[in-house]
Amino acid sequence: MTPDRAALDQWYPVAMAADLPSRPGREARLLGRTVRVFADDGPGAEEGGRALPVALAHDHLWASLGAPGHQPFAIPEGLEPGRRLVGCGALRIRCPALRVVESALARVPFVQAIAAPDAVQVREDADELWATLRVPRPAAGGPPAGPMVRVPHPTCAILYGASSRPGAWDVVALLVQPLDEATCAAWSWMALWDDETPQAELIQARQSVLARDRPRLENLLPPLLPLDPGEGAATRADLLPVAYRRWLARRGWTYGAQGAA
Amino acid sequence: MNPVLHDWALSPSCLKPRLMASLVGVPLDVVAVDAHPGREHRAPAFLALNPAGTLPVLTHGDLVLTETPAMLAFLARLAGRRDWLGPDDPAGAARVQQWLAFSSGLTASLGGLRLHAMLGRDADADALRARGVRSLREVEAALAETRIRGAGTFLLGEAPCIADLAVFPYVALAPDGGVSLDAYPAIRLWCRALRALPGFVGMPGLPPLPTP
Repeated sequence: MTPDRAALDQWYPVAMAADLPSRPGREARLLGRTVRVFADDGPGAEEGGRALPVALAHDHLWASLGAPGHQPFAIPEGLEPGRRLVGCGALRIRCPALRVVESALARVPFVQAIAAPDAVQVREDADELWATLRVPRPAAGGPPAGPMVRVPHPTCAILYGASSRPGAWDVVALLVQPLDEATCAAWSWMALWDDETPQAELIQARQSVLARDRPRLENLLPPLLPLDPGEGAATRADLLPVAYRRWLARRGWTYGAQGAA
Repeated sequence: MNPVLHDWALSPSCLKPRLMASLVGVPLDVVAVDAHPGREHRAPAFLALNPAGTLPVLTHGDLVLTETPAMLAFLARLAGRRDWLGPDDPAGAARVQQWLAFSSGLTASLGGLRLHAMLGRDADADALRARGVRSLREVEAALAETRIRGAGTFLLGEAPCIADLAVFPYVALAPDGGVSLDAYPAIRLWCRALRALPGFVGMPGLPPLPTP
């Protein structure tokens, strides 16, 4: 499918900012098209000689094939002094970008909180989808009360987890680049309270999470994400994936989706 | 003093020494190397250790090993497990060496295809796939013939040995590169048998068998 206006006008991550070659740069795929990314006097991207809108955010280069009309979404935690910022690179997966985000939402560890009604608050704003845990978890090892996940972009999710610092959350951003409708590159970027763990261990732990999920994601049927609410029977544990699909459908998002109303 | 393994969690080559060490009970000190995206294995500090810039590297005192067949043999002997070295008769021992050499071709073909599919590395994917499939057919034929003779489930017969561990990771993870194992029933049975061994450790995409 040709990407529609909404998909074209989005920002997408296309490279790590620290890993940009000088001109003529490197080829990258975006929405089924080939672009070149490079850094000369600042980072840039072009498609067939046409300069594309670019932005630097969260240590990545973002590009758009259309006219975004806004800056890439912010991750305020990433600006807090003392946090350790870790870019984990990208893993390619033969599935639509939406499937990677949905799968991350399905794994948000809130299942135990379901017993308490209204323990999880889901907020579907026009621009963003949020899930917040409203009660502190009695059991150790789980997330404290507070934000759990944020979807600021159809192909990106911010996951909040317990950190080594009381009252603060570690942040894992899943930034997915749709290479075309059926394949994607999943970038991970983390903002952590951690001064001890070796960098390579942090990166490999994050890569392993995605790599474990990859075979399942590549074998989902249908490959495209169904947005029709009549598809399948949702249970309470599907709260976030269902909210995500509904949020996409309400935005009229179609790229990588099927059966959108 | 434990052997030290310089490791990347997503590398099937790195699984070979980790799996061998776990199966024979040798503790390893594992050092994570930021191979992706950092390309730390091509940086001067790592090249001083292994000029070839490949992972894994296994060190033990002054000994520095950069070839996985050597690591497998070393770990088996270190544990006093000569049974893992395979048969001792001339033909059996030669077959073990044959599979160890064969395994490096899998790293290039199925391994190259996997890096292309997962990390977008430049590659002639069609050529790698054709080579990989030829190798899979060879493994399938060998395993099927052994079973038909009633000689066992593993490459050298009744018992697993270093030949199995050298060939196993890239074969079992072929689907990561888009090569299905559906057409290779003997390979799939062999993979299950290896995954069922006590002490088996896997990696992302290659979990141990669920315990019943």
